Amino acid sequence: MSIDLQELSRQIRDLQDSAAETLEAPSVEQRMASIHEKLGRRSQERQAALRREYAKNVLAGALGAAAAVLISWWMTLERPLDASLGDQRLTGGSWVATTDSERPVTFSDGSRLTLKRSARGRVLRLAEHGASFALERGTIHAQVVPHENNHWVVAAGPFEVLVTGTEFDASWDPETEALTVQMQHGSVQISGACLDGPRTLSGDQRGQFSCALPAPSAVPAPKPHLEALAAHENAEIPAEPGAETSHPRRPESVASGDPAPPPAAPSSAPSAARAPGEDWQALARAGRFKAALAAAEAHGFSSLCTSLPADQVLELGNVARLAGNPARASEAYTSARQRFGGSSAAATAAFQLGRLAFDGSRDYAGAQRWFAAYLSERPGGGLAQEALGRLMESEHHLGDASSASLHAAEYLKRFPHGPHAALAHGIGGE
Amino acid sequence: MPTPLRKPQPAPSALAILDEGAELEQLVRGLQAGRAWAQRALLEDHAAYVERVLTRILGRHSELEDLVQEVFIRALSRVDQIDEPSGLRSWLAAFAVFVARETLRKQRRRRWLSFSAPEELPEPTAPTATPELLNAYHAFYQVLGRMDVDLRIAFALRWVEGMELSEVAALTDVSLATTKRRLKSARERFEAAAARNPFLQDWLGERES
Repeated sequence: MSIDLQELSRQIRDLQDSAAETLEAPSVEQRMASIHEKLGRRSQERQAALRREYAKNVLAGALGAAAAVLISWWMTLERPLDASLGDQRLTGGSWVATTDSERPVTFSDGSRLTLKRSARGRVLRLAEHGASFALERGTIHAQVVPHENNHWVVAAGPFEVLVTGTEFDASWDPETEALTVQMQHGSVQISGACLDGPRTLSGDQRGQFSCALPAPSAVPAPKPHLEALAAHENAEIPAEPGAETSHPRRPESVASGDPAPPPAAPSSAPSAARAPGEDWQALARAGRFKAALAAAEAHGFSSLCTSLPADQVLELGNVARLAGNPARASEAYTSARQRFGGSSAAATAAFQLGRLAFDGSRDYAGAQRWFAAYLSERPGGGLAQEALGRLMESEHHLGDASSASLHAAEYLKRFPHGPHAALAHGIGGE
Repeated sequence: MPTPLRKPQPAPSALAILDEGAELEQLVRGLQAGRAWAQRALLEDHAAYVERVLTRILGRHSELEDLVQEVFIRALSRVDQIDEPSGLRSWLAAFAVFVARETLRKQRRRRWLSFSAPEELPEPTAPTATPELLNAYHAFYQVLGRMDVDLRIAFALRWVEGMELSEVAALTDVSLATTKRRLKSARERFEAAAARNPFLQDWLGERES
């Protein structure tokens, strides 16, 4: 005896699909908001855990120091490192901050942590073979003299940079929760609660790490002469999409030692290198669609539609759509169709216009035309499943039973388990 | 204006497939750059699929929406690991399988610690479902609930979702041979349990040669 597993499984599957159709899934906006809220909460929890860890470390440091004092009665031990800021002697827990100029914290082993302008931090612990320093904001330039058993830690938010003997810049932006490490020589190891494991940077590598989105990344720094060229080109040519997120090192960072810009702080970018429309893209990346649309309007929305490359025009349309301005969204998508006819972007614009008609104005006749246009131009495109499902649904709303049935049959043939499968069955696509 | 409505199209051309690849590549680039539109598009295009994979493994779960979000939280935190845009869907499904496995293990630990009966599965609200089918549905997932988690996942992906063996192997990160072994073992256990279950006995029949 054997079970008819295939048939049983099919019926289980159908039952689940049918049940899924009756449940109202949250909107994409609700899901996005919830996901981002959870990501933020987790990041805060990680930081709180790290703060507790800091406190434990300070306590452990204090206990360790106390133990060292006791033991020093009995035997001669090397003292923990001395640290000073100018004439001021620093101890574990000392705060240091700079405003207009940089200031070095010097250690008795010859190491230096130079706080750049507007940086803030505190010495967590001074030990025999190193120190722990918490960078609260801004950039430090670290020069750690190599010694045997060295143990230096620069902590920033949820990250720890473990140093042996090396020279590097570390920047921490608490707003974007982004740590940037630019190596000059030697190597460091970066660990953090949101990293899979420790990451090592060496040579002239540059790493950017954030427990907030986008995900951690590490890229080698460009060669100086390429940076200069890039700076020259950036001043005249709008950045390619995504170029600003690969975080090339700013040329002036090399010259002045200013902190490199964090991933989501475009306002710190030099105005000479700012491409038209960059502000709205930065705001869009931050999920601030209404502000992004307002910024695009300030640049001249219509002129952006007629000057930007295809993918950015689509993005502009998405910003307007998500900001709740279907008229501007429609303008951008229509512009993409007119300017880049026959391209993938034009087809995507047709799909988005269909969605505007379907979701926004319930104009099912318009939606039918646009989804059909998408399928006509990209029959096997990435949006074909959704376009075909919505085309069928539009026809169903319009009472065009024969077309709906035809497309339902096609849908079931191509996407038997797709999200519109239950509706297709209901329409009689079998 | 869009072109006039066309009849259903034949199989996609090579050019269309290339375009699909380009769209996916654009999406992946957007995700890796942390673009909100790309994250939104990922949710729009794949949330239903993620929900389906979770449901196949877990049955209707009372915290399904949280689990769907958990999959995307994990995925969005690791978008730098996407090597091949065309594998985006499978990459996402692997997170769904991982989250489902974690959920099953947590359930098992909770059950063991509290010495309580397994949680009741929520009723699937399908208008056309017969009581017999609903009973079989519950019995099906109760039998799966007594299986080893890895056997259950392989079994659900293969039989309920209808995945190819190679897909199951890839999503569960084991070899094809291991997948076959798991499926054989899972099927034997399932059939043995089904033979004793009044709601699944109706599905017993002669083995096809």
